[in-house]
Amino acid sequence: MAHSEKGSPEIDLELQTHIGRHLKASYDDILVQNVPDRFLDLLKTLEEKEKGQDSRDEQR
Amino acid sequence: MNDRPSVRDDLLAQIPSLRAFAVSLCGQMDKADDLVQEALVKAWSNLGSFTEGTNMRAWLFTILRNVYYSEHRKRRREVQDADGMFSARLVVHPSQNGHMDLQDFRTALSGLPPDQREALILVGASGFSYEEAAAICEVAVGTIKSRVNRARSALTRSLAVQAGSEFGPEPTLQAAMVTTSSGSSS
Repeated sequence: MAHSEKGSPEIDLELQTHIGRHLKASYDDILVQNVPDRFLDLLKTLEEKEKGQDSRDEQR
Repeated sequence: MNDRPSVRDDLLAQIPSLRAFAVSLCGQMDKADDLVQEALVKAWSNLGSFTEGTNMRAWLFTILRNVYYSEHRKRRREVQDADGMFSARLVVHPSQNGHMDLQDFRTALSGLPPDQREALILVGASGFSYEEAAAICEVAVGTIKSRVNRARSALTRSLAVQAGSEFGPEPTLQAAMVTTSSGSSS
């Protein structure tokens, strides 16, 4: 628990709220960004590579 | 037909959270994206080990974390350099009122031991339960709880000091100190 010897419980509570809010804010900055093209390309490449393998497997 | 399109969509949907978590691990967006890329490639080739119906996000976070820590061990020195850049590179919002702003917070966050920072982010930002975070970090639930508590206490202390200092030095002096410290890194 975050009961500190110094500082009042009110300040602790206020800081805890700030911490929670900032923690989310830092994170959400990135969450709302568009997925960069490199990842779309990557997933497409992976998918195509696998499709290629599947069809080779089927031919065997 | 085949189930790949849905798997791809599932992976795609998790990329924003993976990037956010990766940044919290390594502190740099470009490095974070490299981690995410590597994790996605690993995930794709290990889809067989993913149990349908279980938490894909937690599964991906585990992979990402393993990628990060295996590289971290390989290139410890380089990563320590990166840790030094943590707060500097993450500036997104300019300081608005100087009162426990995001920059202060990020500085405090970057000062936490990595295991505590990670636990706090998984629970406090990524929205995982203590149980899920414990599974991702491969430790006991009690360990995660204690890391989160220690992280919260440390941040509370460090932000309390910053808040207290606002009643001390004048804003101009603070600004001068900030300018000096960021200017010296060139």
